[in-house]
Amino acid sequence: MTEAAAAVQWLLQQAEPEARRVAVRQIAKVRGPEAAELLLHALGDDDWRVRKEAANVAPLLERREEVVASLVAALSETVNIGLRNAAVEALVAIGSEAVGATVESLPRLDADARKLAVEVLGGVPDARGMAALMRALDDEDANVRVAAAEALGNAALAGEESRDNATRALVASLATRDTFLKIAALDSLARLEARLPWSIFEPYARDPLLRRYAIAAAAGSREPDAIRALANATGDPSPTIAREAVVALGDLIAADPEDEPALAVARAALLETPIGRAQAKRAALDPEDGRARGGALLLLGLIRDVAHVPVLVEALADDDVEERADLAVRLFGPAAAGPLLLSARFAKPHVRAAALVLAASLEGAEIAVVRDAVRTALQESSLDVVAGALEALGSVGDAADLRRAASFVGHQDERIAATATNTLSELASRHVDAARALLRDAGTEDPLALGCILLGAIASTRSLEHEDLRLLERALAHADPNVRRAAIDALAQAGGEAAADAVVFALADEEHEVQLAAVRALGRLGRAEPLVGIVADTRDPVLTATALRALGDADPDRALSAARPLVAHADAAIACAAIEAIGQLVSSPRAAPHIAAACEDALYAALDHSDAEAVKLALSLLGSRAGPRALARLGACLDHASWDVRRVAAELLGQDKSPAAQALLRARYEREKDPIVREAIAAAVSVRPPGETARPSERGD
Amino acid sequence: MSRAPPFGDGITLKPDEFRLLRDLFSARTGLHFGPESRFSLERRLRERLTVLKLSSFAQYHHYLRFGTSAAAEWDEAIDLLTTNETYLFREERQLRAFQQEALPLLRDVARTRRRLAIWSAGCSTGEEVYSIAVLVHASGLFPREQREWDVSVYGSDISRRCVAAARRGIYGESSFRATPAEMRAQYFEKSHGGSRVIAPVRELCHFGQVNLLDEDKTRLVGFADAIFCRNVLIYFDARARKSVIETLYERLNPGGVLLLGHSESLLNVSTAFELLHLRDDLVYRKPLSAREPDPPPHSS
Repeated sequence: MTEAAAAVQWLLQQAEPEARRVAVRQIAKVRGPEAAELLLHALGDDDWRVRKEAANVAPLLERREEVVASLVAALSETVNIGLRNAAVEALVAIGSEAVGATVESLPRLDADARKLAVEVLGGVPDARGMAALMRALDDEDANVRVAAAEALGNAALAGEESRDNATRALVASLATRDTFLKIAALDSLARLEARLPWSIFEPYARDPLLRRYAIAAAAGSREPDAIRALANATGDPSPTIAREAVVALGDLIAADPEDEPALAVARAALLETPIGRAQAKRAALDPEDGRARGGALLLLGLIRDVAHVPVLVEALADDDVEERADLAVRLFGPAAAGPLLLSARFAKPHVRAAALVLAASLEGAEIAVVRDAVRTALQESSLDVVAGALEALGSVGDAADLRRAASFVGHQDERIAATATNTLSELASRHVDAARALLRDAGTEDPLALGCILLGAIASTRSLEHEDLRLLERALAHADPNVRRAAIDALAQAGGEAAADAVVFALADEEHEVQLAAVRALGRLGRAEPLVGIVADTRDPVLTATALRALGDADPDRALSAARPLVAHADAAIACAAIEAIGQLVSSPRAAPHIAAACEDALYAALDHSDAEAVKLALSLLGSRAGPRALARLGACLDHASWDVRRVAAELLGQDKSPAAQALLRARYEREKDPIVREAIAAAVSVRPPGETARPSERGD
Repeated sequence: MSRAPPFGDGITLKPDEFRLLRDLFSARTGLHFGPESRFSLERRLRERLTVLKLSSFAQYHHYLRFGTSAAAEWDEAIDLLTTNETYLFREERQLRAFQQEALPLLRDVARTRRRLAIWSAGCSTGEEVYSIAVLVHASGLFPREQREWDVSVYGSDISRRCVAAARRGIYGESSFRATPAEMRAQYFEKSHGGSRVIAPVRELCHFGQVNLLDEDKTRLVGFADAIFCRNVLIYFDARARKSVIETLYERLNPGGVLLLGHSESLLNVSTAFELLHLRDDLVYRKPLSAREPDPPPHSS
C-alpha cells in the first residue's frame, strides 16, 4: 500500500465521523488499486455523511473500470445495507460510464441486487439503461419489475425516443395481473406526462385499487370523457380518490381557465355530482391540505353556487390559496359580486379590501351595488379597506367620485395617497369636464398638487391649454418633490417642445425620484441629448439604467451606442443596467432590424461578463432564441461556474425542444452535481421529479 | 491587548491623507484647499468618520472613491465643506445697477425671443435667486400676464441641502438685514417659520443641484442672459476657475452679462468677455458679435 493510501486508511479509521468524512475527500488523490478499496470502505461507513461524501468522490477516481466493477459487486452485499445503497448512489454519480457494467451484471445478480441495479439505471439518463429497464419489466421477480416501471418514469431524460419507447412499454405492462406493477406503470406514465386517450385509463379507473393512479394519470388528458370521469370521481366514496380527483380537476382548470368548452363539461358533470360538490366544499375549508383546497376552490367557482361564496371569501385570507380563490371568483363571474361584498363585510380588513377590488373588476357585475359598497368602505377606519376601496373606485367610480378620491390625495399614509392619485387620474381621464370643474374649485387646497394629477389625466385624452402648461411649469418649482414629480409626469403626458423644455432642468433636481421622473419624461418626450449626458455619468446605476431605458424611447440608435460599451462595465450594476436597456431595445416592436441584430450581439457579449447576475440577465433577455449560435452559447452557459447561471441556461434550453438542445441538457445532467440544477434540467426535458424519497445512502442508518 | 481604534473623535488628518482628500475634492468639485485648510477640513469632516464608523481619513478617502454609498456621501461632504452664509439683497448696489441699467439692455437684446433667463450659479440657500426675481418683477420690464415674456431665474448649487433649502425659500430675520422695508412689505409674506417671497415671484424661480465643473449638468440650465456667480470663484483653484468661466461664457447668450463678487475679477482667467461700465458697477459681457450659440443641445 502506498504511503498516501495508508494515511487515508488511517484517517478513515478515526472515531470522529467528521474526521472520516474529511478523509474521504483525500481518496481522490490516491493512485493505484487501493483507491477503489478505500472507496468501498468509506461507502460502508456507519455514518451516512461519510457514505454520502464517498458517493460524491466516486466519479473523481481514476481506474474507472475497476471502481465500477467494485461498486457493481457491492450491489450484492447482504450484510452492510448502507454499503449497498451507497454503491447505488456512487454508480449514479459516475453516470453513463457505469451503465454498461450495470446492464451486463443483471443476469448474474440475485433479485435484491437486480432491483438495486435497476435503481442505478433509472438514475442515469442513458438509452442503453432505459432499454434494459424495459426488458426488466418482464423480470421474473415482482420487485424488480415494479422498480423498473418506477425507474422508467425518468425515461425522458434519456431522450424523446426513450420516452416514447418507455411510454409504450409501460402501457403494455398495464396488461399484467400484478397490481403493484400497474400502480407503478400508471404513476410513471403520469410523470412522463404521457398524452394518451382516456380509453387506456378508463378500465383502471373502475378498479378500486388502481382508480386513484388512473385518475392522476388521466389529468393530462383534456378529453371530455376524462373531464367527466374526474368530476365524477370527486364524489368517490374513497376520500383518497375523491381528493386526487379534486386536485387533478383543479389543475386541469388552472392550466387553462379560458378553455370554455372544457369548463362547461366540468361544470355540467359537477352539477350532477352532489357528493362531489359536498366533497369539494369540505376540501375548500380544509386549511391542512393546501393542494386539495386550491383545487376545490376552483370547482366551487365553476359551479357558481351563491352558498359557496363565503368559502371563497375565507380562502382570500389565506396566502397559500389566495390566488386560487381569486381565480375561483372570476370563474364564478359577475353574479359573485353582490354575495362577495356581503360575505366580506365582517372579514378581516385585508380580505374586505381584496373583495372590493375583486368585485369591482368583475365585468358585467351590477355596478351600482359595487359602487355603493366602495363608497361606504371609504369611510372605514382601516387603511387596508380604504386603500382597497380607493383602488376599486378607479374602476367603478363616476364623476361624483372625483372629489372623494381627491380628498385622499394628500393623505399621510403613502399607500393611500398613491392609490388615491391613481384613482383620481383614472376618473379624471374618464370625466374630463368634472375634472376641470374640480380644478377650478380647488379653493384653499394646494391647486398645484391636484392640478398636476388632473392635468396629467386630461392630457392623456386631449391637448392641454396654455394656462394648463403654465400651472404645470409652476408646479415644477414646488417645494414638495411629489408635486414636482407629478408635474413632470403630466408634462410628459402633454408632450410637445414646451413641455420638454420645462422638464430638462428637473434633471438637476436635488431629489433622486424627481430626477428619475425627469429622465423618464424626457424619454417619452423624445429628448435624447440630455439623457446621453446622464448615461455618461455612471456613478449612479439606477439613474444610468433609467436614462438608458428613456434613451431607448427617445432615440434607439443612440441608446444602443451608449449602452453597448457599458455591457462590459466592471460594476455589475452598471453592466446590468446596460444589458436591461439593450433587452428593452431588442424587444421593442419598433426596433429596426439592424438595431435588433446589434442588440443581440451585445447581449451575447454580455454572457462573458465576470458577474453571474449580469450573465443571468443577458440570458433571460436572450430568451430561447433559435439557431446554432444561441444553442452554442446556451450550451456553454450550462458549464458556467455559477449554478444559478446553469439553471437559467437549462430552463431556456428546455424551451427549445430541438434534439440538439435536449442532447445538450442530457449530457449536462450526467455531469451536474447541483441538485437544483439537476431538477431544472429534469424539468427542461419534461420529467416530473418523483415524490420525495430518502436518498439510498441515507436508508441504511 | 491593543485598543480598538476610535471612530471619528480624536482622529487627526495626517498630511498624506490631507493631500489625498484635497486632490480628490479638487478634481471632483474644483474646491481649493490650501495648506492652511488642513485643520478646518479635519474639523468639518470628522463627524462623517463617526457616522460611518471609520477609523482614519484614509478610509474616508477610500469610501468616497469606492464606497457603496459614495454618491450620497459626496453630498454630505460637500454640505460640510461649502460655506452657505448669505442674505437677501446682498451687495445691493450691484443689484440695483443690474436692475436699472443691465435689465433694460438685456430687454433690448432679448426682445425678439421674448425670453429672459437669469442664472445664479452657486446660489447657496436661494437668497440671491429670490432677490433677482423680485428685482426683475419690480422692474416691470418683462410683463408675463398675457404671456408676453417668459422669465426664469435659475438657481444652482453643488450642495443638495442648500438646494432643498432654497426651494423651500423660507427665511428668518437675519436674512432680511439688507432688505429695504418697502421691498419686504411688498414682496414677502409670513410663512411657517419665517417669511417667503410671494407666489408670483416665487414661480419665476427654479432650483437644481449642479456642479459647475460638470458640463453636462450646466447645460441643463440652457442659455442665460445674465449669470450671477458671486463669491463662488474664490473657493476654486486656478484650473477650476478657468473651466467654470469658460462654461459660463458658453452658457451666455451674446450680449449677456456675467456678474462676479466685488472681490473677484477675470484678470488672468479669461479675455473673452468685454467690460460693461454701469454707473455704479462694472460687469462682464459676452460680445454681441460672439457667435450665436448653437441650438440648445437638449432640443431634438
